[in-house]
Amino acid sequence: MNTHNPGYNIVALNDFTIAMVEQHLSQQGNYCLLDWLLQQNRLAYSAYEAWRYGQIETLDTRLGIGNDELQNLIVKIEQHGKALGLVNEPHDYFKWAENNQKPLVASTTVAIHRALTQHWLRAQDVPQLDLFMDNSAVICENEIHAVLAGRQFELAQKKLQRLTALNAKHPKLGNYQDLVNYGLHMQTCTVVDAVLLANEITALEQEVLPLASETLGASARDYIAFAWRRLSQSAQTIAFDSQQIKLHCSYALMQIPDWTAALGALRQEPELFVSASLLQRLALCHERLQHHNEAMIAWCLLFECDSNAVEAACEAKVSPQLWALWEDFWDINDGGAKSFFPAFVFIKNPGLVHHLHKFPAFNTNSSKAMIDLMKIHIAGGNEIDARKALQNISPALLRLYLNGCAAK
Amino acid sequence: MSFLANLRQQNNSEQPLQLCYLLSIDQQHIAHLHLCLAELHQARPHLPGKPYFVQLQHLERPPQFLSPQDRNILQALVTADAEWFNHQSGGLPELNTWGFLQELLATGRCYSEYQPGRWQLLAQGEDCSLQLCWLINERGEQFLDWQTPQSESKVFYVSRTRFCKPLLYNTRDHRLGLAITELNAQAEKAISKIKPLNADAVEYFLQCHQDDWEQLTLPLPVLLSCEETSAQLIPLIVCQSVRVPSEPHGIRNEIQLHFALATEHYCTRIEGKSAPTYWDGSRLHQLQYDESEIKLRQAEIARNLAYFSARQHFGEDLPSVWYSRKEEDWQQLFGETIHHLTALGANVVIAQHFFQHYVFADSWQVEMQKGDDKGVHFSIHLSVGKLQIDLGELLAQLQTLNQQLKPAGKGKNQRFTLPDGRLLLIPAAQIKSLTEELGDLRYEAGVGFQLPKRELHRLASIHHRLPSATDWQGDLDHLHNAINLHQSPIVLDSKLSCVNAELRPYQWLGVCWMQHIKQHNINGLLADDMGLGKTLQTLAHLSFEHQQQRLTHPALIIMPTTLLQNWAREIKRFTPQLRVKIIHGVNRHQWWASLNEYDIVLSSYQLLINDLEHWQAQPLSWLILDEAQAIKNPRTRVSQAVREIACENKLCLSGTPVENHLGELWSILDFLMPGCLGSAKHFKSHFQKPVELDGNANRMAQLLERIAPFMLRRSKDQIARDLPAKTEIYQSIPLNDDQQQFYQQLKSLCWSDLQTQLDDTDAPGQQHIMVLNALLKLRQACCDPALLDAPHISSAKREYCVQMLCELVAEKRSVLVFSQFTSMLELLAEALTKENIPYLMLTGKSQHRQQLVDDFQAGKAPIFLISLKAGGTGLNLTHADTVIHYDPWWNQAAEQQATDRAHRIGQDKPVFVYKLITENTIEEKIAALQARKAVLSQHVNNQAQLSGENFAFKFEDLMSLWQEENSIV
Repeated sequence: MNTHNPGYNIVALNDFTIAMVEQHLSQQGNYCLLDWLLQQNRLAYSAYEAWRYGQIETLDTRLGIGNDELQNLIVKIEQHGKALGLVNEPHDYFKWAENNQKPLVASTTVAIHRALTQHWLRAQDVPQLDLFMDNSAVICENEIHAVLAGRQFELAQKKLQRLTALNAKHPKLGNYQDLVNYGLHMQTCTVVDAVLLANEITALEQEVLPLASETLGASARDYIAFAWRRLSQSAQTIAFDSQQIKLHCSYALMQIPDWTAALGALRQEPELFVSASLLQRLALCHERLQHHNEAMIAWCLLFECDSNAVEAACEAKVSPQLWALWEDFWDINDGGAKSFFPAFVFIKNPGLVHHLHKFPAFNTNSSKAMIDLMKIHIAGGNEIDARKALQNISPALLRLYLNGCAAK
Repeated sequence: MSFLANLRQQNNSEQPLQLCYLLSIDQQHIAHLHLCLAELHQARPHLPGKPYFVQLQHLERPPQFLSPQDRNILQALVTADAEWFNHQSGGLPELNTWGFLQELLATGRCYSEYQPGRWQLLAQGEDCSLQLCWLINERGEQFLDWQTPQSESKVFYVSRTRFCKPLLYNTRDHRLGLAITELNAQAEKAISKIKPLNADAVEYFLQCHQDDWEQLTLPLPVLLSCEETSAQLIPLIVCQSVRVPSEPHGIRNEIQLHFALATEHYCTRIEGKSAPTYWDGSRLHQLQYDESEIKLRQAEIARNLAYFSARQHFGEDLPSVWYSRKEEDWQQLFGETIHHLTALGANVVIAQHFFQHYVFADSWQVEMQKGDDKGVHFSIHLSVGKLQIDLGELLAQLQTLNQQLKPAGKGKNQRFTLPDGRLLLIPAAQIKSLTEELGDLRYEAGVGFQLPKRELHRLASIHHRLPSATDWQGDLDHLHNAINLHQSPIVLDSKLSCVNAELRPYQWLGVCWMQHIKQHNINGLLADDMGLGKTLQTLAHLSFEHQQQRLTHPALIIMPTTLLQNWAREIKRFTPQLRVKIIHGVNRHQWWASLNEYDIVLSSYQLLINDLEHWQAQPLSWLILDEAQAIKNPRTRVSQAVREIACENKLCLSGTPVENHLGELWSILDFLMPGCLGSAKHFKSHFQKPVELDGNANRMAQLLERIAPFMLRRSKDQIARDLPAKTEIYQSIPLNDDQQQFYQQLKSLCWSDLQTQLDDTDAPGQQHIMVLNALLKLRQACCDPALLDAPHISSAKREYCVQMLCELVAEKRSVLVFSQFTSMLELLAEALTKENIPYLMLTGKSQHRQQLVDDFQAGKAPIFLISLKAGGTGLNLTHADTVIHYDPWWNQAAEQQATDRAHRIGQDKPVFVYKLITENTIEEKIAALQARKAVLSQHVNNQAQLSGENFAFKFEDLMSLWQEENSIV
């Protein structure tokens, strides 16, 4: 099951540390607030895309972060940038279109626009604007990166021809050509035939993605997102097939990542709660969209369906909260049955009971007994029978309940 | 096949570059392959293109110009010989050579150069059987060779093993074919080492090999009869290029001395010790000659070729081969020595494909045609013997062949291939210089170059770049005018200066330059560095005009609003005889009717747009733009407005005519001399892009040369000797409107508070501190309201200072900025960070002071921000050449000492000291009082002055400052 994208944990803004700036810097070569917000899903990629296409004027209403939080974040970035001895450079974002002369405006507030778009770089990485030293081939190559990320593949082809004329020895000419070819293919063949979809997904994952990452570096994100968007649109009409789980459009949408659209697609899928892979996608979508309660219930449902998948997710620290509960569970329940984990989660998060109406019922006895008991507890009813039922399943669970929820 | 590979195959998009295979066969009949990328013109490759170097990555993931066929071919090459990686030429694979060649030919892109510069597509021909036979050459030598079915067929090989795997190249129809031979291995071995047999050797050969060869069914040589014949001795100077792998490019150019013997019917070279022989088809002749005569001639020739490296054959006393890698030696050979050699009776023979057969132009001619409204046409020709060559066509040849110009240098020449194959040499510096000058002119074969009317001044540059003996013909008026314009201005007697100041020599030269351009009816840009006195030079020029009664109408000077008062003050100070009027403010309209009564009128850029109609109606003798970078963008309203004002003469002043890009310089010069640098589009493609994107230094030099008549720019370093060791500049800055309002409110408030406080105490010490505190607030308001927690109020001084620092950094100055307020330095630091200007800062809090000083001295940052206390004694900052006192100091001795950080012993550069003083504020009063105190300070021990602020200003002084300040409320 693919849980790779994105491999970043969502960070509470209070926990924004200098180490994160450094980490981002080492991964991307520069630190840019806009990229970080995208990575953290504080800005939906679909909104960013719409902005780059000029469909929305600014990102002001699309930032998933309050104004005060944003101001604090900007101050912290300034502090961390200075502490790391970084240099900030204004960076213009242009519309993804042939005629893209005017830079886009990220925010109507000049200071926020500047903070969102400027790049922080190590002093030695700052491009030197030396009128007499700039190399035409390097400039041309940078332009190719920009137009490939901007999905202007015909223009990219022209620029690639210019790069070839400037430096026919350039070792990556073939790489760029393949990326241009794939781009032109995406433009020509906008809808992928259902029969060919699996083949296209494999090609994208096994051939295009590694090539784009190697060749385009940070610009690969926007190039690849376009490819996934195309495949997700082609997969919209395809019903879920447990033998070919990647063909469900939620998979492609998650790779973009467009979590909202992926969640929508999953919600419409009749097989959602019987397929472990779909359940895992559901949990991830909720996780990334900061729907912590829904995410936790989805993890619990997945646990009933495929406990190994949840264990793997815990190990991969996909969800910090889930991982903490998992650790906690084994601290308290050393030697106990693994299957009690969902019940344990409910003990630790009693509020989850209020969100259960959005999900189907749990199947395992321990989960059912625990949920029943908690519902009675919340309603102020007589818990005796329910406690007995739970004790019959696991006295340890009952003890935990008594020390946890009931003690409150 | 992978998905991407499949897409690659489907890609049919147009590819402007094509990989071509160039096959060549050397004198030893060995084939070589060269790879090139050629542009397509009308579907045909433009050969020889650019070399293509085989890349490992391209074999794995090919660029568009590599087809699957190409990949197979390149793969075969690198598999056969790994040396092909990152190389563009080499041998053909020795295994399956014919199969490989068939693949090459199948691409339809395999060519051969059958004449220099002429390429022929090669095709596959038919297989052909070859037979061995003995041939007799004219010397009577017999040699074994393949007998080809047609005389045009040439046998070639891929390895150096004789007779091994021959291939055929038909030079008539340019087809390659496989040669079929019926030799068995034994026969191949027998003939592999066989050499040509002279007449004497045939008999011995037959004795040794006749039986074996007959068994192998190989042909045999025949015995020839011989007789003696007398002949004439002729030295032969053979110039040739020979393949020598150890030489650069594998070629050595050399002269070989041979001797020929000539009879009535035959002429042959003498080779070896034995007498030459001659086969007339039926009989062999042995030619007779005198050995001592050869030695005599050889010695004479060797003396003439003494500057070449020489080599003699084994056992000989005298050299017979001369060679050189130096082009200069070959030029000398063909320029001079050749005449001496022919006088000695020698015949000079140029071998085919000899690379160094040089000729020189005998003369140059320029034909100027009568000009019209658009400009003039002219053509340049050079003569080589009877051949007339159009320079325009030669330059076009350079461009077409995409040939790189040779680096210019003494004795270096640019080579052109003439239609007859000779190489014309023109000094590289000259051709480079002409290419740069003529490159952007429209050229039409038969008509010549067209020079637009606005660029006629370029004729001087063209004249300068052509040989001095060039014969100029036709209408030469424009040429003479252009030459006069480019000459240095006549230096007038400086006693003619009528300003109240002693002009420095470079300043007087500036005035003479303005006179010079005016006489030639052109306009100019004075672009001296900041602080060199552009204002003073302009005033000196205008007063000179006034004295000569040439200022018949007022001169209008446009400037930023902040400079209006400065100019007015300078005019009053230096040229009080000139009547000046500032046209500014709401009441300015009353003056329109009386402007002719003034010599100089000052106004601002901002108002120029509003008052454009008035200025258009006003006759003006001069239109002068100060800080002319204000019109750097030709699309702005101001730029357009200044172009709409009629005037007799124009002058621009700017220390930084180029702030961001060269287009700004174009805008200023186009205002001064419309069209002088061509259109904006032309300027961008011809100058701006090559200079800014490609770093073309030559184009930059060409631009500078082209604008030289219109621009005078002296940097501080250039005229350092003319400058005093220290130049102090008092820079007055008006407060912005909001800052002015803030200052006035603060002053009223402080004054009322102060009066109340003073009434409440009698202690003189306390009163002193109260006044100082109140004054401190006003001083801070002058520096920057942000110091008083009012960051929303603008600071005129900070804006001015940052702008000034940007310009100084652009001029590569090193600047010390002193302020008594560390928070002011922090504000400046913040502004500098936004401008991406590196700086260092030294305040009382700074640690590792010496490190900071060392960093500044090492040039790690151009700006050093220093606070009063930190800037105390002990710092040595001689790297700086500019000092800015952001705020006036209470204590002049301390200020002096801060300045001396830069102006210390050891400083080898002149230092500029700027004092930034806000207009009509407490700062002006402090500065004035300080000047009064300066007289007193001359009598007081310097150390005593430094001991404390109290020395400089007593309570009465401070109160008087307040009272003066309040008198202007």
